[in-house]
Amino acid sequence: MFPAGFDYEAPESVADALDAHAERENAAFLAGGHSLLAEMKRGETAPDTVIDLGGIDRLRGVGVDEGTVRVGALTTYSSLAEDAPAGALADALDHLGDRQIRNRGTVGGNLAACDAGADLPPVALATGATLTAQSRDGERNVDADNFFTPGGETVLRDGELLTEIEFPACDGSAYVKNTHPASGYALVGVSAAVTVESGAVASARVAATGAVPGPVRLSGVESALEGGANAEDAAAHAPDDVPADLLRSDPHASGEYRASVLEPYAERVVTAALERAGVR
Amino acid sequence: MSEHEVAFTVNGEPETVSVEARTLLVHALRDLGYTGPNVGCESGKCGACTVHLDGEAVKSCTMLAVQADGREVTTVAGVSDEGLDAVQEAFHEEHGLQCGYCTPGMVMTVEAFLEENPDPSREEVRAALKGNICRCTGYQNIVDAVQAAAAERRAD
Repeated sequence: MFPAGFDYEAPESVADALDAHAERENAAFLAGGHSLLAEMKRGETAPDTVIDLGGIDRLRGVGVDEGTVRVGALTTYSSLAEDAPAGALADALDHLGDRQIRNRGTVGGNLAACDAGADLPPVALATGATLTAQSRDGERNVDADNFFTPGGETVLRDGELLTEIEFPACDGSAYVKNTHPASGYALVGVSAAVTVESGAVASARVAATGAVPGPVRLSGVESALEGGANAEDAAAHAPDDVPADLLRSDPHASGEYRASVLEPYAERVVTAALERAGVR
Repeated sequence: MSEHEVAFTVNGEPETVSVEARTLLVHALRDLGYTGPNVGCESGKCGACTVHLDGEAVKSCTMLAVQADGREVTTVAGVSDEGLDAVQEAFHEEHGLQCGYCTPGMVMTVEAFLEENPDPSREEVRAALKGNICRCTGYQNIVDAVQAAAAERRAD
């Protein structure tokens, strides 16, 4: 499988990358390539220009401050895994793709491509991440809640580049997935993040991937937890929390199956997050 | 459609090649005569094309040749100066292959993995080889081979 022909540019700054994109009719930014090159080989997209971000060093780097993790968009999964504190992010990186993919795939690429069943979008939603995007008009910060759509799109505009992601600290978080054995994506995956006051859940954010094309918050599970329900009772809301009309059915699993397994995975991830937060 | 001059080293040898932008690294390597990396699934899943890029295992079907400019690439033919190294020898001794198509990729992943984890459990070996698919062996002998290679390297 060969991608169709294209022009290749390798700018050394974000400004040059944005200019290069603007000058072309149909350009695409290339990070780790594990989403874009695969789509190009399948003929699903055929940019006239590929703008390789690999030479822009300022897009790489990880800063951890009291549990809050700031990540340059071009940071690979394996380099973030060296620094990520225990929690949802570390869980996701541990189970993402395989060794070779983790060496080359990038955090920003995962979030911007937002492939169905991708592992980092639900972690971004559950932890309440902030995503920074830059365009020729300037920079803007977008909450994860406003960044993804249940249909699997992001609000990144044409020519806008995701540059940095901040995953805030919480008292306990986790991510669990049912891995598709060939693709490595999640058949379904669930992430949870909780804050705790006086030994009880003060706030909970829970999000799923794989069930519908995009990542979605499981609001029924969240409210039940905040109302004092245990993990098992709260997780029972999960199948009804995803938009039924968007459930993904493919040769690997029916939408109905995906919705039904959300419940045990939600229970597991909430249990893990509560344990890490010191709640029994 | 742009053409690019790519200057890189392969198994320590400096190489310069002119490629179309869309040329994948695995094809550029094979056209240069480095036929270690095999073209398998062509979609980043099977790992038969695994090489080292600046010492890290990557899938050469999911990377453009032009992105290797200025980098060091190592294929299975470059892991040993003479004869077989401990990993290759162990795959031979433990019968860790049948048709052999996946083996160059397996060896490259294992070389990087054992640098990081010199004494892995069977579970750890299986997790490390998640991105390398074998359709012949059922993996038992591959796991045996990796553990034998690890023991051999520890003894050296």
